[in-house]
Amino acid sequence: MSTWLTATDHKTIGKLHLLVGALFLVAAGVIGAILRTQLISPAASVINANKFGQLLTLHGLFGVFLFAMPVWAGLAFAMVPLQLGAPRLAFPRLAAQSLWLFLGGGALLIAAALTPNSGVPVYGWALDPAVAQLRGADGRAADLVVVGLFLVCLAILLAALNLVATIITMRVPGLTLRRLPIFSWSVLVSGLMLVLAVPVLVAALAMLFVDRHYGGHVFDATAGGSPESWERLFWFFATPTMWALLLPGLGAATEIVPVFAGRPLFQRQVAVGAIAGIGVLAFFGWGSELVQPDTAHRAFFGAAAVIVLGPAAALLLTWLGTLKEGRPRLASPIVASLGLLTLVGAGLAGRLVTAVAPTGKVGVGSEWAQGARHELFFAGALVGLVAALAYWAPKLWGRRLSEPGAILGTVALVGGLHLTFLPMYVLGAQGMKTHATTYAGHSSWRAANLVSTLGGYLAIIGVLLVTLTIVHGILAGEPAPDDPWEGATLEWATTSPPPPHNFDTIPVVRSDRPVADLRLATVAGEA
Amino acid sequence: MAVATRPPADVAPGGAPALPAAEGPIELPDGKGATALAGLLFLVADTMVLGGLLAVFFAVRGQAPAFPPRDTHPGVYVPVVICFTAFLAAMSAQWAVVSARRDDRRNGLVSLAMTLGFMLAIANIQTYAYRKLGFSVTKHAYASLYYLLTGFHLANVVIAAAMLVVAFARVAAGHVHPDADGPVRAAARFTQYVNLVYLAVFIAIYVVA
Repeated sequence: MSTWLTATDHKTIGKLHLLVGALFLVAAGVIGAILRTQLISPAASVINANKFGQLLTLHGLFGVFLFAMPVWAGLAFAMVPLQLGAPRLAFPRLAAQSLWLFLGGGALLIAAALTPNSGVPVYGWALDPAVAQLRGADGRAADLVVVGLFLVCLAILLAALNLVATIITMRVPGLTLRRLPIFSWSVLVSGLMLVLAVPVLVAALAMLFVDRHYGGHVFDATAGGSPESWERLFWFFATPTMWALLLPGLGAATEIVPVFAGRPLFQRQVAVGAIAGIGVLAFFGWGSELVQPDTAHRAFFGAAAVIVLGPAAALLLTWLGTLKEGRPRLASPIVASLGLLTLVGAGLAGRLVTAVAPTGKVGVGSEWAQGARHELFFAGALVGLVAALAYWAPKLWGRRLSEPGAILGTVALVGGLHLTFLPMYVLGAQGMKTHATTYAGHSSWRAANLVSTLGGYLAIIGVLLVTLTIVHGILAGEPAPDDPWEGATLEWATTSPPPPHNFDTIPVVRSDRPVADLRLATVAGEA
Repeated sequence: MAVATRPPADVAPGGAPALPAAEGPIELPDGKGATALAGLLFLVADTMVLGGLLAVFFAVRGQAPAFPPRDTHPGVYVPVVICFTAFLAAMSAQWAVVSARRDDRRNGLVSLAMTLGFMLAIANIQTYAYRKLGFSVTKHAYASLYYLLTGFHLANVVIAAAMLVVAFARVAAGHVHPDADGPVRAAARFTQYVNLVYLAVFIAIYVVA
């Protein structure tokens, strides 16, 4: 245990980040199930409105800040040095520091939830509906939330700095940026996005802290302050951050698809450009998330929110092109990647409708918009993670996962996520707003809410099945060969699991598929 | 290393050239330049924090009937002195960099000590200004943002001072040479950056507002 706690090996630190993210995923999932159970019938009374709001806040904070962020860092910490042919991260101790900051931030958010009498404040994950209330709220819980988020922001910033520095300076000779594996490229782009986006939330939290503790008036309209500035800063942070946290999952799937299709990625340069395009364009659509942007800017933000969907769609098309021209073989990583494709596709369609009609029933604040955001960003990040874990399990644990278990769990998860979030599109079209705790008087909403709730239960079963498959694989799985999938990138050129220094020998890198090149050379030599 | 024996389906005969594995020990990446790059990224992140503060400052200004409020006077004397001191700090920081490049330890120590002195003077002037301002952070939104922006600059001044102390100690210990001048360059660059931060704060508070 002590070796784990003091580890500086990137694989160990990465796995610890993944463990932290998994624990908070379970917490967010259980909370989500409680929230969905409250909505299973029009006038259910599982929890009262106040408790619903508190749990909703925790669900969002856990899901974004303590699941998606640690998992982003963990997967990247574990795999990026292996893909670069590097023996370590650029700053190994800084990576360990990120872990402790995540844990500290998570502990503070849990402490906020357990604070006697008040519990976590009711603000939603964006904390925006009532920032004026937050700035004047009494109690320690709100402070714990603010400081906890600050620590998590620091953790993800340090992780992003570390990973960008690693990718730029730790590549093996011959591995130019043009030859960078797509997953590492997605981590580079998302890392830069986080470096630009997260500090804005840090600034907002600092102002909120001054308002709460030193009598400031930054967000106080009665003293000349600007409460709407909180919402603007938050969405300037959140919109690119959500895309950034999705990108590594997309990057992993972009590597998986060609391996299992048995051919190089169709239009690789398009995929590379699409990921970079998302990285740039995601910063321009943040205003589309505002409840009431002024009319002059609504068109600009709406157009930007539509345009960013283009590169994402183009990326999916490269997957389809690869599958069409290849000879796909069935395995758990490709099943999860295909599931990811359906989720991202449905999410992009939902976001497109919201961006085009931001003020209608399907606009900002509707169940439609909420469903699309979950389908694209949360479900996308989660299933992208499952695909990556199934693919890289040999390198992470030296074991293969049970294929039937992984496929069954993935199918249940993807099916459950679709059943949870697609009915929210229907509910939005029917006029249901997000954050509603009951819907008495709207009996027509019952069927979709029932399906959505059952879908949520199925998704949890899927998560449990995948988790059990991974735990079984770690404890009793079949030892994995070094290159079980016939991969193309450098992580498949070392043992499973890799030694502490990662590589004894590395192939000469003269393309973006060095291990595939080596395989070809060996076959040619034998012939 | 495991090598598969089945050729990938996509590779046509005579396609990609055969690529052997590197023989013997290979040159592993050592992360040279990682610290400088991480430092640069930190500056980018720091600038984004400043950007967030300035965005709210201008948002508040945009909806205020009078900005700063009529009974609030941040004064001109202190910021001008700080600007002048920051200019001197920039000059002496560059002097330190040149000294390190020339392996001139004596000039390096003098210039670093001067730069450190200028940064401490800036911190001193700013805290003096806080006592003489006549308005506190609780007065109104302008006051809160004045303290936040100048406090942000002050925090960066403290970090710069800490880096200058480290650089001074490294030069004094003989650890800095023309081909290993990282500590001096990092401290000097951060000092220049902090001066740019003050320039932005100065323009926002005293010129534009």
